[in-house]
Amino acid sequence: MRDVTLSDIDRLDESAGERDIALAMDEDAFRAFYEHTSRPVWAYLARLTGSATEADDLLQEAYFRLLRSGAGFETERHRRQYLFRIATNLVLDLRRRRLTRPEVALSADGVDVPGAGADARQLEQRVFVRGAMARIKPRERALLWLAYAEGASHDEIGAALGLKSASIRSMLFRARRRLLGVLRGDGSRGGGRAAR
Amino acid sequence: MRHADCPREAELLESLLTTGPDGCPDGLRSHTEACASCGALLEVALALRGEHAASVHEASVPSSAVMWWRLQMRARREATVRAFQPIAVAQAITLACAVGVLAAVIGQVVPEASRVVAWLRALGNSAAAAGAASVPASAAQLLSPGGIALGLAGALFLIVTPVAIYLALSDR
Repeated sequence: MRDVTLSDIDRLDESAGERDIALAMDEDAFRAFYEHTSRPVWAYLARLTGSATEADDLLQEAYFRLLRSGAGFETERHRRQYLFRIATNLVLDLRRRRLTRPEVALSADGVDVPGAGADARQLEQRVFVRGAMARIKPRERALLWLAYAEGASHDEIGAALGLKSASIRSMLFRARRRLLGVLRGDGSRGGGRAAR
Repeated sequence: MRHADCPREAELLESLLTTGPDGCPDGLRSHTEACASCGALLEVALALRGEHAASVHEASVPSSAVMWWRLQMRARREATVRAFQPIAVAQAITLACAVGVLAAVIGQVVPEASRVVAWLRALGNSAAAAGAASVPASAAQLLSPGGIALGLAGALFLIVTPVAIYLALSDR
């Protein structure tokens, strides 16, 4: 039986480094793309998961999957769209794994309490909006965030969420109505239960 | 459920995204005040745009250099794991072959082993009867091909077991 020596391991490490790290972008292109997209993607992940820690973890995973996808993109906009799709899928996977865990914990160490620097009124408003977002369904949350926070088109939302573009309009309308119901304190329209 | 959104919603949203609420043209502003659908859009969009701006400002993401380095390290680690997979498979096959050979040898030796056990029992009986004269003849039986095979099987077992334990416990 052949034993594996340290030099074998070193050789394999080197060959792996040379051959198998086939990332879809070079460093300069990646860094430019990351500078433009990392914060919006992090904000999207944080709003969908309700956790800054999970957003941190998923952010790295999203970029890793993007780089390993090997997919070619016509424009940066397509690449960005694909990144949001990966992020959405990561959140869905996370939710499937942790079905019993509350998604939004309004705690001081989470993202749900805005950081220092905001004045009291802003802080109150943000906690209110985050609480309202936490009370609607995850898909509605993603829809609304992409449409109104990111300014994505229906086609882009469809691509990011794996939905038909034709159905986005009505889904968006319903989601908006539900969020508005929560914001206005109308439980019958907003859905009084916390979304899971 | 029917939805009754306004045809000017797209215009309103575009205006909000590009110029903000203060940049809305007067016509659109007065329309929004009168239109329930556009009013709802304005309320939701303003809330989410504000939250978006604050979240993006607050986001403490790693620098692009750090993230690139992390991704490189992870890609390298995964590539190394992939590179080791054939070796691990070969080792597993070798171990399986060794175990198979050991089992075959033991299978051959078992009848001979029963003879050795019988001889040991006879040896004990004869020793108890103080008849030491029969011992040399029985010892010769132990050196028969069956006895040697049993010894070889034992030796093989002693060699293979540590290797198997090493492979099971080693990290790489």
